[in-house]
Amino acid sequence: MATKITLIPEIKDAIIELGAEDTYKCYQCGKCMSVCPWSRVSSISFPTYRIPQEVKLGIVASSEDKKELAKEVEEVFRCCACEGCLKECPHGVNLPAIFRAIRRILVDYGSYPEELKGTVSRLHNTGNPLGEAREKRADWAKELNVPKFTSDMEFLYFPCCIPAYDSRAQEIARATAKVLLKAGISFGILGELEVCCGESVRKIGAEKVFQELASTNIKTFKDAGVKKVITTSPHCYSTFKHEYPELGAEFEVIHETQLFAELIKNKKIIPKKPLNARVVYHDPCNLGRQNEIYEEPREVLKSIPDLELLEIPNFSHQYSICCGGGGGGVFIGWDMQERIANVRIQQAFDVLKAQGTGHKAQDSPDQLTIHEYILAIACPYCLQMFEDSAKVLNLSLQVKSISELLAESL
Amino acid sequence: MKKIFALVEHRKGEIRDVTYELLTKGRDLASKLEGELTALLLGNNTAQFAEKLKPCAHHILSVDHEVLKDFNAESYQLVLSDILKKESPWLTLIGHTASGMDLAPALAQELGTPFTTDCVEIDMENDNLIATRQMYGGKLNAECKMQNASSYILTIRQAAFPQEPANLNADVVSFTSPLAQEPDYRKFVEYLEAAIGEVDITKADIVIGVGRGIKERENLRLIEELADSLGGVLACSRPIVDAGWLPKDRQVGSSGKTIKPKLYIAIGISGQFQHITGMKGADTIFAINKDPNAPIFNEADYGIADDLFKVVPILKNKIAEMKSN
Repeated sequence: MATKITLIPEIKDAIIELGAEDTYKCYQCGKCMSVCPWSRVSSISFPTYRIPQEVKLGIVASSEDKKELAKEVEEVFRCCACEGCLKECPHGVNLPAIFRAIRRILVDYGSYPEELKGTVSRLHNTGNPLGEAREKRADWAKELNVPKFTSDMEFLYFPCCIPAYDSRAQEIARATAKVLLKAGISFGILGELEVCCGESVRKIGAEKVFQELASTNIKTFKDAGVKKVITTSPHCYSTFKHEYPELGAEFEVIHETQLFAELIKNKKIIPKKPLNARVVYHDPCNLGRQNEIYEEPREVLKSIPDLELLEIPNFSHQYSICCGGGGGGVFIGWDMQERIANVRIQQAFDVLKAQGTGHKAQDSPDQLTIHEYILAIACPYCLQMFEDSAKVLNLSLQVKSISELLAESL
Repeated sequence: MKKIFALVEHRKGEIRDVTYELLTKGRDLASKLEGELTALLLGNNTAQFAEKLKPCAHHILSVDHEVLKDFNAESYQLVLSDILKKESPWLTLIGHTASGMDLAPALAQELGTPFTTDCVEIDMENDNLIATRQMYGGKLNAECKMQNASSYILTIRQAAFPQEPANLNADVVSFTSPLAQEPDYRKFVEYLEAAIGEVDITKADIVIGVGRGIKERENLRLIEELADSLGGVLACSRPIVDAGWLPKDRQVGSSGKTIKPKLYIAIGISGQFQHITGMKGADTIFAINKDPNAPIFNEADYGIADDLFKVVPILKNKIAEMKSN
């Protein structure tokens, strides 16, 4: 049987129009693949550099064989939009944007992974990816007396959907609220009035649902008189900062770690309680590589007495490896043995372990104490991905947010 | 007069095959276009290389510096951009190898030079440079008409052009390295050698290569039996290693081993160029593939275009029969 290739120029044109114009800039050098986090998962083959060529020919995800097609579609949804490739590409090809354009067509045709279909429909129906009731969105804050947002307040605190509903992640929202309350920040929450920022759903390719969510939030924020927003998630941060303004939003956004660093600098809060822990900080893609916020999270951690901050050699700051939760990845049930988060958390664990278990506390330099290993995160998706991986790999390492560590130290 | 440059690729004191292929094509173009070919030689103690390259080019432009001892795309880019700006060659040829592709796109981008990768043919149409490159695993040829410019860079696929002997006598011109040390952001560390497994496929006389056409891991047994009956060893193309069905030391191709057995049997291998690069040196190549248009048949001396699951058992029986006689 001869191989038949059907070239479909209409598909090519449609994909290009939906944001894949960089396709024509690709030289196929493969540097994208060399930095793609999936390349570090040895059982996975994800030849990213082929995608622009396939778009040019209009043959992307076009196999007639059903099994092959399913594999091709899966490949399109593998990209976690970490933008490591974009930083490395000599010609500035925005490969995540190309993937997003392809996904938009696949989503329109209903040809995409089942888990994501559920996520998209839950976002459409309930305004959050977990399908939880909107009226429960402020439940995480019940015991803390976090005020409802009013227009005379300086900040709106936007916790992101996962910390609003997931029982483990609620702890990180509460930690943030505790810090803000302690610092006397003028802030409130909108609870059931707000919906998901829509970042993931846009990356998944469900553009219409993103537009719905974004316009709901923009109107809600405007009506409520929101001028500044604090986010826990770098995904919300990036979306509010770069994508909402195009849709008419006019508010400022700050990531919580930036605010924490400022509060510490101005002595509005002083971390006092020593935390006898050895910590590796994982730069989230949306905060680090995509918004170049590298130092503030580190400054917060360094301000905590006794905390020893370590770096993963060669793989920190802009070279941080994605947890795999971006681009909708957090909602896809990739095989637990084949996850990028496993690779990343192992890197962190190795660095921590290489230092041994002893640590000289600052107040008693002669005394060695056994202390905790912690992977510090600044993103709710990272929290989810790494906690799962820590269990799978059975690593004695805790995953905690910077807000939790800071709140503990105040 | 058209100036054509070709970058010499070397590793651990050896000039790589692709260099001679670039030089052959470069001479060919130079003679057609009444131009001259210069071999661009970056390295440390380049005299040993220059001696070998003298017959192959009109000129050798040599940059001899400790910092260029081992390949580092960033160092090469800094040196080459300096040379190309000063020398303004009409065409620069670079091997489409891991090193070449680490270097060439960023170099072309820096210089703003029209650039095409992985070329298998270079032609002129009136005054336009036409580069042919394959797409989609070699199933399509794309003729890329380059925009009109005074300078071009192409990367050339390995084994796309022959290595032909020549008897020129190049003069060697030294060029001072603009670079005294490796850039901070990227340094050469070491060569990592792949571990040699229990079987060294590069030493075997008969190698049976298996590819994606095998479909399931269980089917490997069939090919193993054939290899045993022939006294050969089992090798494979990359998808089989990616799937984890055979270890990396069995992989033939540009990212695996280069083999030169007396007989190579390719079973269920379509023959993408990455694989061809590793086995084209075999004395006799025999291919079994159900797709008569598979590129493997361009390389094969003998071939059967049929289902391997039909052919291999027959072949095995036939061999057993011949053996018993």
